[in-house]
Amino acid sequence: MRAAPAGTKDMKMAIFEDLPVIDTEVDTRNLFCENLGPEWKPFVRVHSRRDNETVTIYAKMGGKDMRILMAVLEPREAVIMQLKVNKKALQRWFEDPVRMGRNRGNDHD
Amino acid sequence: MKRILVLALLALGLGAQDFQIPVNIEKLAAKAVDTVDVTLDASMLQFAGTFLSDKKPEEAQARQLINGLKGIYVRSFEFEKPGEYSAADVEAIRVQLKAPLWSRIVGVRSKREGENAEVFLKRENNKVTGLAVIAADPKSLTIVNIVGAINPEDLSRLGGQFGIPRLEAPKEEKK
Repeated sequence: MRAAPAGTKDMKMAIFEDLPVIDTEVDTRNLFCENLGPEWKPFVRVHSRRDNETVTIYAKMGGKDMRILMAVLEPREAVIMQLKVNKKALQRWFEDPVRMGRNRGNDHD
Repeated sequence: MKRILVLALLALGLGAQDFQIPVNIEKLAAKAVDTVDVTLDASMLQFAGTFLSDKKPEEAQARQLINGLKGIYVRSFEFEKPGEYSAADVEAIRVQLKAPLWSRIVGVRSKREGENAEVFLKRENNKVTGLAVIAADPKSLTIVNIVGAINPEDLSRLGGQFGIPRLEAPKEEKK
């Protein structure tokens, strides 16, 4: 089992359980709007109304790497990840950002 | 799960006939079971381009393509049952893609499957400055907006990347 997605130089992750999340889309929006600076650019947002699950990804460029901030909100759980990705990982993110987001940055289905 | 192959490549140039994904299309998100929103602006594309090598043919090709682009935007809705979006919703997009700047180069309609796909090109000074594709089926609607210098042939290379559905390259209609 991999501890972090391939091509990731640095990863910070926080998992919250038993959260009183009501609307994952609204709560995600509030989370990012209130806490992120303008250097973070919205990249991908995937929302499933059926499962009340929202995956939102912001990217911050600088130097040789790109930082990715991803929030996965489910009705009772939230996962927040910050990744610093290298060239190969960056290519995968740009080639298929939706799948990478859905797979939490891991390119294995 | 059946996905609609919808490509809307819509130019966001500075002219009077800029294409923008209508704000009211967001109301469809309330009905959709799945929505996807991908935003790659010029700075992100340029940044991605810096990681591509000029020495490797595939990467060089991709880099050349990216260099001409100013943005890629994808908006996709998937619905549980047919009829969740109306013809008027699609028309609100299509109405922006009018002559003289815009021309429709491909229109595909499958009566059996209920699938429609349209590809539009924006030309300024004899150069393509944007490409828009609208594709829809009874249970999904996807809009992809690509801004910048792009050839219709590049569609096949962009398909499957950047969140853009895989499409066959359309042939430009003869005038």
